[in-house]
Amino acid sequence: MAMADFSMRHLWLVLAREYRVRVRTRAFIVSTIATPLMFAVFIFLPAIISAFLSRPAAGHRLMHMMIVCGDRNLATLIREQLALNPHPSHQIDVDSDTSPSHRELLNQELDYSEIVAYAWLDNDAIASGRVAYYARPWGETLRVLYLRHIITMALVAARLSQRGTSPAEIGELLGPPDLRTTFRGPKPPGSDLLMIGSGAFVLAYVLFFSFISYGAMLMQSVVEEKLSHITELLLVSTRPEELMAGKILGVGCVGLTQIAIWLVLGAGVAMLVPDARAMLDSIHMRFALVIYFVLFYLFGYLLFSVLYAVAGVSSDGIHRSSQWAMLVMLPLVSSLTLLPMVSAAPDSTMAAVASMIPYFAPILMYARIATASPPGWQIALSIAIMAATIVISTILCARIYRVGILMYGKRPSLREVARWLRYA
Amino acid sequence: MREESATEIGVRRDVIPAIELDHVSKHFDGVKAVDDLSLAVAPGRIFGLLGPNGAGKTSTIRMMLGIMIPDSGAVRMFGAPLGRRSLGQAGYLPEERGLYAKMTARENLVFFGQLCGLDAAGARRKAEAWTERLGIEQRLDDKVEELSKGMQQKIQFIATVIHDPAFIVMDEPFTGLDPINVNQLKSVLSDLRAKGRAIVFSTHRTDQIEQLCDSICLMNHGRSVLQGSVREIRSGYGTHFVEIEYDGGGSFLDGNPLIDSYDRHADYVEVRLKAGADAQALLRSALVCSRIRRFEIKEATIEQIFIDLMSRRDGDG
Repeated sequence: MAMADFSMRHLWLVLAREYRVRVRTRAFIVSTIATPLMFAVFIFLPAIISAFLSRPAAGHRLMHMMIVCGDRNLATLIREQLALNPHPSHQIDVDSDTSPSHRELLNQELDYSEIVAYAWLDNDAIASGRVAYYARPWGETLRVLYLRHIITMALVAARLSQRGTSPAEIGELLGPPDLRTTFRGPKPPGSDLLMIGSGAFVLAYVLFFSFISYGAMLMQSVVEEKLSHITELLLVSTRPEELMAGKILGVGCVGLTQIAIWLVLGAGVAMLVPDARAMLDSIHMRFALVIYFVLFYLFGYLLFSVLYAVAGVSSDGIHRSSQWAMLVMLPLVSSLTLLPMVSAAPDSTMAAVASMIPYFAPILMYARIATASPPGWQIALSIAIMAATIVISTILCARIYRVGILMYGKRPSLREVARWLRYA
Repeated sequence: MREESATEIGVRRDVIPAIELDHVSKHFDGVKAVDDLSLAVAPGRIFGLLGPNGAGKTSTIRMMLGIMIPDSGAVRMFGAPLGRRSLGQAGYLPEERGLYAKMTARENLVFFGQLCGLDAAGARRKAEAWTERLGIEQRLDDKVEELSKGMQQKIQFIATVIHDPAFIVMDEPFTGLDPINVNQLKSVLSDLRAKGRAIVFSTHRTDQIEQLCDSICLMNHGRSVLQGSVREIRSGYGTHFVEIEYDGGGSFLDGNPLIDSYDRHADYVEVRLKAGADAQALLRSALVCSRIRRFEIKEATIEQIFIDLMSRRDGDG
């Protein structure tokens, strides 16, 4: 049969069957729901942990800290500062009793962990600025920074007051800045080596997991058909190329459906929940990135799925095909290894060259687009290289597929698989 | 028995064979799976492909169906080289059954029907008609994995014939079926033959070959060892077999120069004569020491011919 004999009807029938069967499996429904949840946890986990650490859980008592200040005026000013900037997890009391017995009492309380720390300011603290801080020997950095800020503000206010500045003027002078954060343009190279919390980073990972999971799904499907000898039946009416293309596109459409569901859900959440919209804004989730995501998903999926199809057809069992899958995963894992370097210096020569290698491009070129603005010609060239690779590898893999699909009972070596290219 | 050429095995010269293999060979890694094989099957005939494991039957079938391309020789279906159009007239029931276990019987049948050129509605209608004929219509919407082995076999059978192919290949079609279902499918095969369909039937079961096939090809080591109509082969193989029922001692059996070998059964003995031995001479020698109740000269069965040929070839090898 000549290549001109290729039947789009058969391709469509194989594609439709593959798609129908896959989207109604429990695995599809579970992964469609579980994956965004997993990534939501991944994105929001740092914020959740930080909120958890900075706020005491219900039922837990606040940690207790003391500030002892002999100067009653300064003590009052410290109380005012504490009221203005309350510590989220500490109860801080201010006392003016600087007697040795009080000091002894505080030392005992510290020893018995009834207080976590105390600061001691003598009667001449306004003039001397001396503050003695007593605490356990660990985990004090943040508390010291906080206390330094509170006491500095109180001392400045006290000193200004001594020089005749009115309380209103002092309030004006010490008023906090109106700080508003706005991000503009691409981040400077190296500003965010790990891109933690970045949408682009998350999407690069989504690409990686998509290639692996849909590739594995395709491979499993090929192996099942081969082992159950359905393929033999199909090959009477269907060309191996139609079969391979139908299966690849069928599983690819399953992936696109899943991604479309996620995007619609994401857009819905962003429109309904203002906090989520703010979060998306803050992680630079540009619309163009979504378009590029779909584009690079398609190219990457086609590149890797052809290899996964061959991995499936070259095996004689699910467990054996996993060894082939490991080989296919090599370029994917390499892409991930290079990802931090490429995103740290997206305009470097290394990044440009790596993102032109077809099997690296889906993840690395996408990461470059997400973190910087690579020249248009480089994006176009990487897409063209990927497209050419897809065409060539599909032709070669279809030949292997045609022979491998009928080979039972033995595990072929790489050399044998190469020889299948000549048989077909 | 001489080997016959493709045009001599029941295919008239004015009839276009449903399938024709013309000096076809296929080898894998230097091993010849099929070696210079020629055969032809006419419409309205059931053709048996017989041979031990590894004889090349599966490779031959795959080449008949375009699943595998021969290294040399030609395969023609209804006079035309194999292609999409000619293969659309073929139906195949492979030895290893292949159905999608997670899909229902109906979905499987509609899918395979559509692949063979039917539209979805037509495939649905045919699936219903066939399942009704085979008495499994109430299980049409069950998943294949929920069906018994015998029912799966019937669904597989329907998937083979759903598009009413003119040329049908069945590799061990009765495996896993009880005698009642075997008879049901045999009757369907006979009907298909009566309708002019050409059927190639591959099996190890020589009794089924004898019951169903008009002609056969016996294969060994990729080559055709014997071809022809079942009737001609049996009658032409020589009357080497005699069944004898007797009273008294069976001393005429031991050391008799006319006898090649014999098998004792419950109430008779089956004797294989040496080549050129006269059955009448055996009868005379038997009468000397025994009272003969039955002495029947029989045509060799296909099984006997098969075993005979295989052991002779292996002995030669």
